[in-house]
Amino acid sequence: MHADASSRAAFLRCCRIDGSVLRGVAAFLLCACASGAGAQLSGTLSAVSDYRYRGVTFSDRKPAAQAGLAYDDATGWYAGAFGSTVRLAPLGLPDSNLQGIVYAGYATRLSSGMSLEAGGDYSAFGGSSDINYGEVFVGGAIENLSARIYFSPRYFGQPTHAAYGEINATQPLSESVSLHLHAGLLRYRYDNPYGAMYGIEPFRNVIDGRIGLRADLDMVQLELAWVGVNNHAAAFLVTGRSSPNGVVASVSISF
Amino acid sequence: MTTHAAWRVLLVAALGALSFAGRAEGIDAVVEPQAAAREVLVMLRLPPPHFRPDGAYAGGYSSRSGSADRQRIAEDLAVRFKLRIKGSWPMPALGVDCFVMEAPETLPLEPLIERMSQDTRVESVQAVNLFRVLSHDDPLYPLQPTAALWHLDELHRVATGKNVRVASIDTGVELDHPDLNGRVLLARNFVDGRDAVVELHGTAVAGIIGARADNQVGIVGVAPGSQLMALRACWQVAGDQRAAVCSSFTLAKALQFAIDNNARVINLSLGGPRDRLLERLLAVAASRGAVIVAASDSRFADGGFPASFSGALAVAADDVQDAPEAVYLAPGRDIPTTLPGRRWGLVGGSSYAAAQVAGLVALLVDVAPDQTTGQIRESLNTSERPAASSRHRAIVDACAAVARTVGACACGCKLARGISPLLPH
Repeated sequence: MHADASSRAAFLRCCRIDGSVLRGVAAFLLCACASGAGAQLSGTLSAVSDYRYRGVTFSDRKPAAQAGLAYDDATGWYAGAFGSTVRLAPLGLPDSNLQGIVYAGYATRLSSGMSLEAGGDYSAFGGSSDINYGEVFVGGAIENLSARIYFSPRYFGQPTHAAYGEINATQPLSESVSLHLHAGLLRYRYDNPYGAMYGIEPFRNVIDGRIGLRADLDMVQLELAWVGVNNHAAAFLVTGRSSPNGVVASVSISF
Repeated sequence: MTTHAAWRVLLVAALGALSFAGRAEGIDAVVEPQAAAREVLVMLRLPPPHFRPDGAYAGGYSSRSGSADRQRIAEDLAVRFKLRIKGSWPMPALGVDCFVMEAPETLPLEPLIERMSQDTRVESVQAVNLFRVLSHDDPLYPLQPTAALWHLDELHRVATGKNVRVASIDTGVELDHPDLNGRVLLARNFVDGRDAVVELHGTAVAGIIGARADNQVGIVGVAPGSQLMALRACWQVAGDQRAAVCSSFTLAKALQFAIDNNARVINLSLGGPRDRLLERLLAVAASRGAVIVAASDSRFADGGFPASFSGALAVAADDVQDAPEAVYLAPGRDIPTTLPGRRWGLVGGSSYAAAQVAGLVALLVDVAPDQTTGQIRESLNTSERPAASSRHRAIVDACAAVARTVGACACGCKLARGISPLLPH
């Protein structure tokens, strides 16, 4: 993910995040919660042994603490915020130790049982706002299967667009234990100035997968999963780390 | 932090989290008739699954997201309306979480339901209804096997209900009965937490629908190739094994399971008052292709519910005199079937008439998998009318129904075998 210096500077000038986006979403959440007839507000607190984002470690394979808050309106509109500790060392940029994601969208359940949704999310990084980025997504779910496609015009602040598709499946194994499968494909344009000269394919694909066992104990969820990615240096320019395949454990409390 | 220390932190966090697990609500679903009269079902909206980046993996869907808030809302409602929460169950087919709440004896239910329905957090609310299975309680039916009237041996050369999922929502089934052993694909208990509850009505109904064929013992089910789902939502009344009751809540849980597991035929050999929650679930099941077979309850002029549900095939025993016009009549006396204790015996009543039709529907689906309920209804319509009451839709003629579906002779038609590709030579 090389970034052309001038285009990156232009991008940073026009898109630098000063916290207004986060404040706006927080205000929306508070207003919505205050007025929502039939609305629901919920959250989670989690501890993970390694924070993997689309297969890539965001915590340098160290534990991370996470918190999430979600608001569901009775009409199908939803919004939320998520935060996690991270250990990112983007090349040429300050390190980052905190990630915040705000998101909003609309979901509806069809009479066939299928659910459809569309929305957007914005990811901001403390200490290194240059890699902030937003994306839009559409998705669908039916029974134990779901899929979603995301598009970002500036994935991790790079002057290239990227698309990510994912399929998730859940298979209950008992009343409280379930098997979770995930497969994702990230496709982004790699604008190498020497690409044409050396015949480098302008599009790159990164595949990630996850197989996990989850135990739901009322408000507590425990998960043990194997996470793999086909290119361990996939997001090296953002994370400054490699992401070897490995096992991840997590515990979450819903409230 | 070292990796070792990290794991220690996680372990401590997990133990701490587990200490909260004691809040888990029980599925306190056994509803005694007296208690059911004091219970209400409160439905809270279950938001559709959507993007939610928290948890172990960014971007994953979580089926339980928001359940804590719904629990909080339920607890708040319970305090506000002076109720006690007895259990809950997610019903994604309707987009609701269903909570069972018990009202004190001093609180009249109708005004309570009226007040609760005005709370904007409540998607819907209703009283818990009780249903009863519809069998004769006279043990002295001494006559010949009724299955012979349908020429099952000939029908089974055409179809056995192979791989058709039939959900029998009833009392517990003796799964290791010699005629049922290995025949039940899925068994679940939605009444209480016990395993392998053996009861009469469910065992008898399961045997009629799908008892094993050609095993040198007992009987042959109408659809011996079907995949049975034994869903216990009813329970025997103490002291009378032929009587059993079910509640709105247990039936709703079983229906949700049948929907989730793609039941193609759902048999409900029971009846009671109209029930809004069950009606909604049946509508979802029907919209997803399930054929609903329900026994007609002679206590009600319209056959009771779920027989009166517009999408159901309502069935009464052929000796019932006052069944509504839309009801199909099927053999309802002296039906040999499986009984608890590795026994066989004769049973009778609309429950078992319905079970036979459920098996027959599985045969029809076997030969024409894409049939709609409307097409199956047409196949079941015969010109034969009961002598006693010509206003009934029809006496079910299994051979004619299968013949209509396959477009060829199905029974007593040796001369036709040469021209029917579906019949063995």
